[in-house]
Amino acid sequence: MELRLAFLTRRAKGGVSTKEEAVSAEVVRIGRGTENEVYLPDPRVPLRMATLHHTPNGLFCEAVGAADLRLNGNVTRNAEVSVGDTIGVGPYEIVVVEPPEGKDAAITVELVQPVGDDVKDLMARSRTSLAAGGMSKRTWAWLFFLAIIAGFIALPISGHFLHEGRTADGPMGVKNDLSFDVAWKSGEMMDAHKFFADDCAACHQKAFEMTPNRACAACHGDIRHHADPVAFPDDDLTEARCASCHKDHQGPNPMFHADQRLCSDCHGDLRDDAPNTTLADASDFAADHPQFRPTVSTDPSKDVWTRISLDDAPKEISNLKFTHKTHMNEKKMRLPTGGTRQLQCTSCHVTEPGGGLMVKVEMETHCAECHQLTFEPTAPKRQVSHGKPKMVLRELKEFYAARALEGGVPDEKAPDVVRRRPGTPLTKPERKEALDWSRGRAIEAASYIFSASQCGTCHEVVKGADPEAWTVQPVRLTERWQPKSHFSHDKHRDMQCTDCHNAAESMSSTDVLLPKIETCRDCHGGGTSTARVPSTCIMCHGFHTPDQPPMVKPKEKAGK
Amino acid sequence: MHEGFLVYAGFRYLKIATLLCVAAIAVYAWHAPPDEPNGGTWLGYGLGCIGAALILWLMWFGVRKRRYGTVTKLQGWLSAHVYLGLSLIIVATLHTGFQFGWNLHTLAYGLMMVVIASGFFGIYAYARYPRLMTENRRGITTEEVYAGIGELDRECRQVASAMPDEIASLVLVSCNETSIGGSIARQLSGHDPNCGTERAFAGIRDLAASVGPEHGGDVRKLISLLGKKSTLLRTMRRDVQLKAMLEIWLYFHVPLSFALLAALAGHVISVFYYW
Repeated sequence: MELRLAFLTRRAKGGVSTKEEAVSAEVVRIGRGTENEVYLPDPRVPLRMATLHHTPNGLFCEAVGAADLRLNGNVTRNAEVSVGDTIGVGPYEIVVVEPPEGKDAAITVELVQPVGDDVKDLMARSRTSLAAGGMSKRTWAWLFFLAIIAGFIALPISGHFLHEGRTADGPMGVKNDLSFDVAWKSGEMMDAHKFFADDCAACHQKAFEMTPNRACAACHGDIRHHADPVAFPDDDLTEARCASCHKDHQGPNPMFHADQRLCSDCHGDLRDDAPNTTLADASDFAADHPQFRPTVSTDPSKDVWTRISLDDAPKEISNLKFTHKTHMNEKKMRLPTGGTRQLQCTSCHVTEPGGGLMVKVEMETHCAECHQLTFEPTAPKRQVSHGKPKMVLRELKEFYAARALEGGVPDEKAPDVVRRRPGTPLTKPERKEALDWSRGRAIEAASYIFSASQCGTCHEVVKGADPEAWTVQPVRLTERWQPKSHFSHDKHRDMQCTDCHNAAESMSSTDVLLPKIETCRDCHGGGTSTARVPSTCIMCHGFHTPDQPPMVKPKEKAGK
Repeated sequence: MHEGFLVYAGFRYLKIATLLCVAAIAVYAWHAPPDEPNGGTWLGYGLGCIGAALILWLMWFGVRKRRYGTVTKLQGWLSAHVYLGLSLIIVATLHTGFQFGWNLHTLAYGLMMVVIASGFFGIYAYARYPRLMTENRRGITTEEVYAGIGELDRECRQVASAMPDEIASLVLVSCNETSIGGSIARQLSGHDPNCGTERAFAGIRDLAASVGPEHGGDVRKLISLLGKKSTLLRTMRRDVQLKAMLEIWLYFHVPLSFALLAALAGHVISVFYYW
């Protein structure tokens, strides 16, 4: 086959240069190898790519290697080609053209996909900066910024607005279904408030307004003033916001200011703020606190109670005679049934349920087993009632009258009429005689009952000429020695009673057996003590005083 | 080393920041609030105001560094930015009173700490990576490395033009499928497990024994050329890696600063909204 081969090269400025070759071969080979008639020096072309044969119909092109050919854009292994056809061989295009005179065929070869600029291609493929790698500081900054604004500012505020109107009926039990503001909660709420913890508007009723007292008063409306607001009109006390002392979101424990500076600010030198006060100054339990001043009965007949310092050896005038020392002596505690008994403190003194005060000592419960109010040797189980001195004579009269009228009284000194056989009818004169006897016996017995060996053992007996008026002085026992403080016996239960109360040596009921402050200080230090129980004011004293008027004005309560 | 900003003006801002921290710690130790220490005491509010002002001022650095021709030196600003930024660790922690929870307030604190941590890495990066970059490049510019790679590709193709198809196609892989950098992770790793050049190098080495003796010289030449190219690529990838390390912290520092700004705004609004 005689083939005319033309290599076309396009110039940068346009135009085409042609390099022509004449090839004479039976089979024209195409490939990268130098042995090929159509030599295509490009690594993208296989060494041996294809062959061209001359056939009667024209040219026949056939792929010889693994690579396929492209005939007019279509992939093929072999095909007949004629003038105008384009064969794609790697980056080259071979076009069959009209052969000139004397040639069997003619083709043009052109490199249509030249090797690019390696450096440019490499740079185009490479991403060598983080920005090129798809990161953008600005995008992420906006994304984060807006997400937080939306999630933590816009949503909570919108939730609050949606919720706001629904709190009008009161803060409790209203659930905020859209409680996005939960993210605003600055800390754990105290346990007692947790049942409305997801309802921020219960306390935070108006935006940008401090928690108002009316929010607290919804539940705690009866909280009392610290001091008499008329006698001591101090704005710090009367106009104080509850939340200035009671701050929630500080954990599960009750929220109050335990710091004693809150008290010592005024009570360190109270006359500065309240010139009329009768209270002594105090600023620290260990260093600056007056001796205890229990309230004791000083004149029981007029019901006079007086605060007297334990340093001034107060005497309690209660109208009761009692010696602790005797009662703690086993030998002297002889039982009516025989034998003796060692009494313990707890035989008479036990704490109330709750552990604060002591249960009242009662004659019937604690004394009567030994101190029996008997009066008649022939009726040793019969006693008069305790606590009703004016009824005693009447009870006795009734007892003896009944006996006299019944008869059979086993008393040799008694007249026959009352010693007669029981049931024997009485004449009118006999009846009078019997009742006269009974009245005399009743007064005799009353005289015994109101003697030093019965009532007079414990009581001040008032015994004039008229037996009908015999009585005892009323007893004024102290139930709370220090009503302005609270003390829990229960919290001190692991101590001995005698650690604080020297009852075993007390020979008089006028002794006030309270421990002095020094005894407490053995264990209790000041508010900042590190070597004793740190004891701030509110360990014993409350701020809100029960006998003062309520702190929150009715108007404020109504305004909620 | 870019340590000029650390020693700027005789550690002036280090001293100021230290003074601020010591003062904050001293007042905190002295202060005995009636409740648990928290952000709502006068000291809490005070430290909160200082902290918020510091955060706003620190973020202003992003504006300041884009402005030219102002009186104070940028280096001074950076020095103050670094030291006062670190002092926030103390100021803000004391502001919290060590009360943390799953809420917006602790989110703001956490974001602030992450921003500071990323900034701390930034100081480390600026102290370390520029020197490593210089050492790695050995005085050659990026353009020179690219040009070198292009030249090697051209030579490889030339050598390959008379080689068997398997080899020639591997050379094409080396030329066409090699890239530098790529995804963030790839940039940071400094490697390309699928590098065209490495694949070609390994392939040609494996084929070396099977090609005819007439190609022996060319194969050796190719292997040598690809080896050189591989070295240049390693240098470039290391360069990209170091540059990425030098920059990556800013991609946390800046967006998280804005997240912090939003959280701080939310924190301040919320505590006064629910006063």
